[in-house]
Amino acid sequence: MSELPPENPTEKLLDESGDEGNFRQLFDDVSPGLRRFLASRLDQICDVEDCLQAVFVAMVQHGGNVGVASRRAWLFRVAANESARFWRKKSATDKMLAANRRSDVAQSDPAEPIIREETLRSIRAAIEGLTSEYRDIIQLRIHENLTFQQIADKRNIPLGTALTRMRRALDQLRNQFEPDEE
Amino acid sequence: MSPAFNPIDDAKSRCCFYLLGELDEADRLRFETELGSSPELADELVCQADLLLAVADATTTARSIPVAAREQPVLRRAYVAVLLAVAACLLVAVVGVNQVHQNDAEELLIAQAWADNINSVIATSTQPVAEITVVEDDLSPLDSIAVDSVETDSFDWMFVAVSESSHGG
Repeated sequence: MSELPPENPTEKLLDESGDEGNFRQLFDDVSPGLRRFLASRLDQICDVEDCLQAVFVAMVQHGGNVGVASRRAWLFRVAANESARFWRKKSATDKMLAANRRSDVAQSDPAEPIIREETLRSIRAAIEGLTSEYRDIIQLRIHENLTFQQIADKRNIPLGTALTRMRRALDQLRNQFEPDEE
Repeated sequence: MSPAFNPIDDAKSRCCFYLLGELDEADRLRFETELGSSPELADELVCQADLLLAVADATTTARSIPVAAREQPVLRRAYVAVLLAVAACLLVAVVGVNQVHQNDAEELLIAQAWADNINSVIATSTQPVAEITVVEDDLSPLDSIAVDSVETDSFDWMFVAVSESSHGG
């Protein structure tokens, strides 16, 4: 089901995006992990394949807006959303609600942009609070999409140091937003 | 860094490095196998995906700070536009004032010409001089009217002209 026929409309979209090679490669790389991820959340393999298809379509339609370094993360977030949507559809309550209101209205939360902006502001502040070495590694890896090996070469540091800085930077950011954990 | 320290040894870091595509083939396969059987790991993966997406968003925005530098020419253009507008206003005001003064002078000239004409008519008329002096007496308070105030009433300039001509004549 994940194999698309050549005349599938998404092929056209991929061609138009000019990113076909990147997306195809990315999806080929990530689909085994996505399939397993979805399998941990859905019971039926056909549901897994349906969600995977939805993730693929989302990638074709919106993936170009996502930075290269965070595309995998984005795909897993989309997959999580799709699996959640699947369960919502199965929910009798949601079926009843869906009968009374349009699905797009139900999904839109007016507070969402405000919350998102606030979260962004917090994370930005947290990144500013990192040491310059940690900030640098985050910028190079996530914003400029350099591999850790490239970062290590660029900064003349061992690969392990680059990995460790990234891990510690992420740990610090994570601790800012998960203070109660552990 | 300790040589024994493995930066990718806990679940969170494994998730992050997996999402960044930085696990080697063996670690990636192991991680994906585990992912299929561990809902906890799947949940953790989503959490770390959210973290990375948020960081990516934040760094993108932070990186767009140079955009502020790109906004400088826009601001400069706005300042120039405001300055031009102020200069245009001043120019209009100055031209307007000059125009008013010109109008005053022009009006005075017209008044004098008209008054001269009146004088010549008076001189050739059979009207007694006494009547003319009556006119002068009636208009004497207008002697002090400044030229600037001539324009306030459309007929004032005639009285001023008569007054001027009476004094002059």
